[in-house]
Amino acid sequence: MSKEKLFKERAARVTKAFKHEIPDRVPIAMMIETWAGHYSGYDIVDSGYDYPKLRESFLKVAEDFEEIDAMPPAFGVRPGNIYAATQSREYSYYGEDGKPYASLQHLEAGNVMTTDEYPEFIADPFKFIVEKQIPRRYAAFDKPELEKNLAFTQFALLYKTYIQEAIVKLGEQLAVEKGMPSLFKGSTEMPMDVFMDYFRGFKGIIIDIKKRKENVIAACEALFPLMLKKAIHNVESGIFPGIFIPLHIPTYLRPKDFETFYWPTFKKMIDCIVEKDCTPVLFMEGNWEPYYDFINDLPKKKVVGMVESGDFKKMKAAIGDTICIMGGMPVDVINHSTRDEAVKYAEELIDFMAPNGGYIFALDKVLLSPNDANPENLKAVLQTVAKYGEYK
Amino acid sequence: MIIKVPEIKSEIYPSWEKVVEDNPHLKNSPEIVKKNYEDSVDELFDAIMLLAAF
Repeated sequence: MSKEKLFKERAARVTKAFKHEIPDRVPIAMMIETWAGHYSGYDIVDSGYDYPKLRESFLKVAEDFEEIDAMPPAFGVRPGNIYAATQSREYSYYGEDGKPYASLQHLEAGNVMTTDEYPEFIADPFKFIVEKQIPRRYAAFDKPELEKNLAFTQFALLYKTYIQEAIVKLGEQLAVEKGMPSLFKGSTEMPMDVFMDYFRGFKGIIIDIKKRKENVIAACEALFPLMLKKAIHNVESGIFPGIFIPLHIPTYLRPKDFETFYWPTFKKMIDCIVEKDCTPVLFMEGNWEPYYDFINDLPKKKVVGMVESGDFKKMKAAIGDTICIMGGMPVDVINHSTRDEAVKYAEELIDFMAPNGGYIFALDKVLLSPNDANPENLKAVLQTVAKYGEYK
Repeated sequence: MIIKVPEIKSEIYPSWEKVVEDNPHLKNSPEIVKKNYEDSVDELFDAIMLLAAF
């Protein structure tokens, strides 16, 4: 089969699952980040700083695991060269001894914005980001004007190279050489997650929702236009590929707090993306069972949920008519079971997730470290899904 | 169809209108000048958001 035909076949399979139609078989998608490098004999410094090696490793995964129908862009590997030039205070690929870590290390941003700065942020979030938040996260911009300008010029050059070499070129190679579609064409985060991840930290935001309720709500609203623009501006409308949105804080919130703080901009973001005929693909970290009523208030059959954990049988019954569910195969089973046990688990998963469509087989975790997936068991499971998952 | 969303409202967000305000002699620039400028502002926004929210 030609790569072009294979690409179309895979894209059609995933698109049908997105729309809750019945494809020829259960589609398979996989969230792969630095594991692709490890699998190909490279460490995370190779993956983060050497674009030809990054591309080679993703292409090898696409070649060796041909049962996969869509892979994410390599955004998750993150831009090491940019972090070096901008002197990131948060991301590290290697220790002080120069030895690469097994996976990227991230220090929480923490108190990037202080509580008394809420009004300033709310009045002009873009200005606050440029003037204060970025210099506090990247030491190269926390310098006198001239040095800061030089650093920004260096960043701009590296940014262009990164986008071209790590994202665009890889996407083209995967499509043309392997017939592999990208799972996503854009990404964003929900405003409250951005606030936790890059401004206030987990501890800060949890205190703020108790003590500064109005500020948190207003800050999420103020940030919304920026995050919507990040998601879909200049993106071509269409059901597939999707818009990737990792959800971080929700399962740490009581449903009542979720409704007060997270839900308003969350719902608005989903509605705006769907209105433009795009598919939000939510990376639903944690167990979402306490929030199923909210999920059922999302537009029907327009959203995909990559769910990390929970009782999948119950989940299918509770929210399976609203969102297309992606996931369900624990990496623990791939790694700590025999081949036959892992295959049996996958078959049973398909038995209750596949009926009526709206299901994409995937692992429950993003693959990062060398031991995140035993390749032999993974291959056996994917081969099984490709056959056992046929709709007859 | 390529999706467009409203321009970001900010005291410092670059716009062609501000360029013309500061440089009135550019008022009658050919359309491509404005379009390419605005495309570059979109790229700048993407780059800034990579630093700010990723």
